[in-house]
Amino acid sequence: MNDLSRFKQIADEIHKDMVVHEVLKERVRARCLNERKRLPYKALIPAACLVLILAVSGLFGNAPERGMPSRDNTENIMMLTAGSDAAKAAGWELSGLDEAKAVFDGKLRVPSHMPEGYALTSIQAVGDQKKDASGMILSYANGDQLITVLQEKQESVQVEPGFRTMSTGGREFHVQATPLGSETQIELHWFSGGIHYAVTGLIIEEEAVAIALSMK
Amino acid sequence: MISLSVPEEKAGNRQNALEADLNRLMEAYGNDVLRTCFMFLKDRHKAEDAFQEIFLKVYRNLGRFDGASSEKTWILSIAINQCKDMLRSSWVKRVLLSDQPRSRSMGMDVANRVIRQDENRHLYETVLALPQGLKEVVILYYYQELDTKEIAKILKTAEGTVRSRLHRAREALRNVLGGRLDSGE
Repeated sequence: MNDLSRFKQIADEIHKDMVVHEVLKERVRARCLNERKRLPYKALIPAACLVLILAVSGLFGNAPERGMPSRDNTENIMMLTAGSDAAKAAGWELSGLDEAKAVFDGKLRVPSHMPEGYALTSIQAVGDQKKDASGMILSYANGDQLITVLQEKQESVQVEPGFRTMSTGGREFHVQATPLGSETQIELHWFSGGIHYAVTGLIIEEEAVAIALSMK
Repeated sequence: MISLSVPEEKAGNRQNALEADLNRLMEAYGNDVLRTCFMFLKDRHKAEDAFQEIFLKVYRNLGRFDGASSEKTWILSIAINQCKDMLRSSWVKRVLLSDQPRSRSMGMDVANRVIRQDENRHLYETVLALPQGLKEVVILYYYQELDTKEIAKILKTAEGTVRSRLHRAREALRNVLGGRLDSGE
């Protein structure tokens, strides 16, 4: 009998040789030290921006009236200072489909069909935030159930064993059905115009295909 | 819990205190964080890369840690997000093609491994082969021994969703393990 309640002991036994060695800790300390050295300059950026914005707005006569909140200036400063760390992230959340289409080089396809009850809950871009996104993840939720639509700029990906190839609606799909308890997870992949598309979720294969065919 | 904030120290002392906190946290949670990263990323080098990023973020945010959650919950939250970010960066191969459970081929593996009477290793590998959404709740619940409320906070989701995912994860494991699972429920 497999004892899941002993998973910690089991995993720790398997990982017994995987410990944080001193070299790894030292690398972290060195990076923290580098960060600390750069910090004084970073800390000056908001102040410099504030001085610049106040100077510019004063020159052009846009300085806020005395006693009035300077809302625009605050927003400008936030925009100027918020980017540094976020720009390094591998994935980031987008505000809507229009933004997604823009950052995905106009190649985003959005399904016009979804099973009843599912609504778009999250749009995430993948890649280098300073350039166009290389991938896009659209998440559709219905309570705890999730359908994920993925798109990636890539001509082809080696399809792993276990995927069945089928043709419908003039497209070739690679599909895999995986039983998960009483449900089945469908994973459907296809390639078109230099983009790798995938639909995955606890849905029937026909629904996954219908979603795929509705993406034009 | 030891306070992480040192607001009235001079700058130099404050940095020393931050570094002391960083060392203490790496000592206290380092192995758990590294092993958790490995279970997500399935690669020792990538787990070590993730470890560096996680504790760099911990260091950056030490002054802002307000004690609203436990240190462990806070660090694990950073760790899970870091692993997810790293998985997304090559999401096609890892998230879609490699990380999905393959019950059919896994079923054949089951037979082979049961013959080898290595049930623990098999259970471990089966957990790691779960889809990410199920695997993360199993790791946080059974490996990190957090309760569903703490897991919900880390994953920024409803506690009911965590319970539901745990239930589905146990069902999926039973399915692959042929019913031979004691989940301690």
